[in-house]
Amino acid sequence: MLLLVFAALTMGVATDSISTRTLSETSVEATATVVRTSTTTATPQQSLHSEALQRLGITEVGEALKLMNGISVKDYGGLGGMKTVSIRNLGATHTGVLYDGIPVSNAQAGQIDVARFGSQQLSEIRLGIGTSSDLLTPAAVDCYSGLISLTSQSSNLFCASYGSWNTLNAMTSFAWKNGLSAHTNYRHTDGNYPFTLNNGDKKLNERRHNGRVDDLNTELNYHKGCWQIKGAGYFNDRRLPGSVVLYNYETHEHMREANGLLQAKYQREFSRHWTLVIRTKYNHAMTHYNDGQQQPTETASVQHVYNYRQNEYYGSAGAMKSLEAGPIRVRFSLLYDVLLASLHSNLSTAHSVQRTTHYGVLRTDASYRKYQIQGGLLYTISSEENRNHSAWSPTIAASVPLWSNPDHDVRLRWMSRVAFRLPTFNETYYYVLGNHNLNPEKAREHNIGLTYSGSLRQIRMSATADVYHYRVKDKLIAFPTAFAWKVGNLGEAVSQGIEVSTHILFPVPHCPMELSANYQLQDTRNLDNPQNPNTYRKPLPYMPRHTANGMLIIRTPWLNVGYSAQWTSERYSSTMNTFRYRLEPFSEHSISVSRNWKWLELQATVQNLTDEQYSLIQYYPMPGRQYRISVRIRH
Amino acid sequence: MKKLSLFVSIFACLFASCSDDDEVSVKNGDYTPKSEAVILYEGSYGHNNSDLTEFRKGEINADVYYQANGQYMGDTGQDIIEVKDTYYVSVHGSNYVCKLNEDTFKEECRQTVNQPRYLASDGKYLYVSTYQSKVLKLSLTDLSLQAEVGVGSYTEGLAIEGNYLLAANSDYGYGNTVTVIDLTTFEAVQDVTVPNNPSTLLATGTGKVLVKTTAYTSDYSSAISTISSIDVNNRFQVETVEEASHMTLSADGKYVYFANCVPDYPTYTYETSFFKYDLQKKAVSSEPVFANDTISAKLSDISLYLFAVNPKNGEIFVGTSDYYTNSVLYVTDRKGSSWVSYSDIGGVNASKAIFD
Repeated sequence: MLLLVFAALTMGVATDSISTRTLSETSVEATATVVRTSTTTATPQQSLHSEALQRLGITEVGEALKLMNGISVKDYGGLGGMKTVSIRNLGATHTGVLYDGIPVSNAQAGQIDVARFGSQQLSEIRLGIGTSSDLLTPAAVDCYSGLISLTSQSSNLFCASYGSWNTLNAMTSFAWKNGLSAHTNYRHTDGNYPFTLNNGDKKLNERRHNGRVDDLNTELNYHKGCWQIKGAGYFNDRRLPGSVVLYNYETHEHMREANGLLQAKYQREFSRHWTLVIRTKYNHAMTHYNDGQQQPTETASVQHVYNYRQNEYYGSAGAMKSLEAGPIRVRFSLLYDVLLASLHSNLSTAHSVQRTTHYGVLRTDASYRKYQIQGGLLYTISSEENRNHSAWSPTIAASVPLWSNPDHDVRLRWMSRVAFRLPTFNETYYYVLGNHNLNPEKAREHNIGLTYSGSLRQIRMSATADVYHYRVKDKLIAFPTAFAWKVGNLGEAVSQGIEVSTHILFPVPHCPMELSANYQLQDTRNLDNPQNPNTYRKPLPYMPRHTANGMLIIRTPWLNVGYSAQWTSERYSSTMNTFRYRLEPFSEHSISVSRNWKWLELQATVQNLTDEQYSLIQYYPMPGRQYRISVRIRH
Repeated sequence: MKKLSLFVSIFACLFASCSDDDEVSVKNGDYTPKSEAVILYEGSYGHNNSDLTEFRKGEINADVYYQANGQYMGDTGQDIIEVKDTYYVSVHGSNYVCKLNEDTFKEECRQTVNQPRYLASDGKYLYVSTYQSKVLKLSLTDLSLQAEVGVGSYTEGLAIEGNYLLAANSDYGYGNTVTVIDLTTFEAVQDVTVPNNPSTLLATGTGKVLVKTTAYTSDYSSAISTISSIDVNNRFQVETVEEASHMTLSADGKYVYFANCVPDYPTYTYETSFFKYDLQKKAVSSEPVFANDTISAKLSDISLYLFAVNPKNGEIFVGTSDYYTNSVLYVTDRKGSSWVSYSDIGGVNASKAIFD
């Protein structure tokens, strides 16, 4: 039903228009909308502003990303659980994350757990599929298939919320006139939520165990003129409930993380034509993991406690040259990044490993009236111990107006690129899993789409429809064997799909409304090993054919209402599409109501309104209905 | 615009052309097996997908535990044995041992056991190895705990030879002992030193117990398994027998059939060979396990997981595993002349067959 509503909305787009007359992405941002789908860029770009997050009662980046198109959030169990983001089913290791313009990296696992980022201190969450339209984006992120950009804000604010299962979230931030700002965010949950367990023909009422999470995030920022400096600390202590094992709910896994970073960015326009950017970062991360198993005897040799320390030194420098001649504008940029990452652990196979990666990228874009073309060529070379990797990653994208007048703007966009990712430290060195002879995983990506923006009687509207085809070669796959897990460049997969999104702004007096809806039809199949009929051309696990989501924000002088919904069709946890691996379709609805006074806002949120029982990963049940009350004080 | 429409149409066809059907087992070969068997499949770790397949008159009936009990068996079905017309099953991840009715597969009773592994029985009691450094002695009637004995770490296979119960202490790859337990007193009487990482044990009924040990190559690109023999009647002396990863007794008990499945992890390929070992002559027989070259060639690159011989009629059961999808089953007559294969045995990691 929800899907039909979304589809109907999407089909109705063609009657309206918007007066976006400039080509730059920033022109769209200048509007009052809080949910944005860019129609002027050559590649799909979406963003959620802090106000949308606030109206929808969202406190975690992972929850916000579930409302964007073209991505799937792998959620290992809701509250405090690990959340990784896969763009167009390529896997989380193909997704880059930028925090205030500097890459967040994890050379050990290769994927970023976005659950660590609270959303209350952010001004914007942006998702870019393909390449960024900002020519000064760090070179190191050009190898990714998509990029999540998180931008923090400085304000004088105190927020606190309390909800189901003793879930507490408190954030305070201060901003001074001299450019300094600070914020601290503390989160806690008991994580012991009830869930329905389907065991064959039986439905059992169970409860998650060992799900307690505490984390503290603190930052000190300096942002003035050309300088942006950040010092941050992150501490996390969490129990891991793990997957539900039938008849055996004992779990004692425990993990502690500590992370400290210092980063700086200097960006200056020396003239109308020249811009310089320099970035640097030092990051230190410690992870302590205990699998909770007891040694059966004093002499037993199995390791149960794992300690990891990662150090990262990052530097980046680049310049952009802009040229304008009448309606023609051409820009070039050249950036060089270097990342030195090291991992120290108590593993016998990887006491200390180190990798140096150099990235060099040449980017250009050119525009003539509403015609736009964009290109980039990234060269990456990495070295560690006795092995080196290198790869070229070219990108080309274009946006062409098909029909344009002051009220309607229809464009065709196209993108082709090659993305890749390096093997992670875990894939290379982790015990017997590791394989020292791995090659980078490569993805060839093609996207073609139509965008529309326009307005009709002050109703502003935008819509996009994209078709994509991705093919991954040398896919890095961990496969179990009779003796141990191993990693190999064994996979080949094809991912193709259609994405449709629409956004409508109704400027009703005293009651402006914003509606956003997305739909994706996708198909991702394994192309490895044609001799194996059980896997060849079979859908990869956890790939729903259909997904849709939407959100509605209504602002009135008395109350603000935010409503969001997601719907996902059936999917399977294995390439075998049998009843054992089938995950039921689900829809989740959330509503949030808030009231503002001058400096005070009170909010009540109900997540998973219908108490839907579902899992995104099989045997990692998600929480049912949950309540939360929040207070925000601006000071 | 026409080109765009064409592109979209082609794309739509791509989606339309893909259909997903439930897995159906396809038979290949003209042999009709006579065996009646129950096959245990472990499932894949964390998926709660272990169960049993009933094999009758050449036909496969999967998920019989679920069909009989309306609930799933759980995570990692580790072992199954038949004692006095009753099945006993250990389910490692789900922490229990249960007793099943042989005709209906209905669960009759269950005992919670922390990380159970393999089972053995002398007809009086059920013995269970565990990852808790203990071997348990349970009642065959109600699975109540009768006694327990301390052994090494992460104990795997069990075998009964004479009045001794032997337990392989793997210590997750670091162990090198087999504990000998006197069944009269149920006390550990000796730790026998064997090569590193002992796992499977096979009682031959000749006073010797065969033990499989596994070592990795230095770069972990492969694994080499070796079979040694422990002479129960001769002060538990150990001698190396052959290089092999799987073993099973022939129907007449004169031979051990060995299989050696050697992986090459970087390419994810396997080289698998089969041979007969004469227990009396202590030598490899010149007679092949499979007389038919076609089946011999078919099995030469499989990832072997199940290897069993029906002691009543000598039929040979071979099961594969890719660790993700359901195992393939090959069944041959006793000489390996005629064969049939089933593309889908019903579950992932089929590991053991027991015969009626």
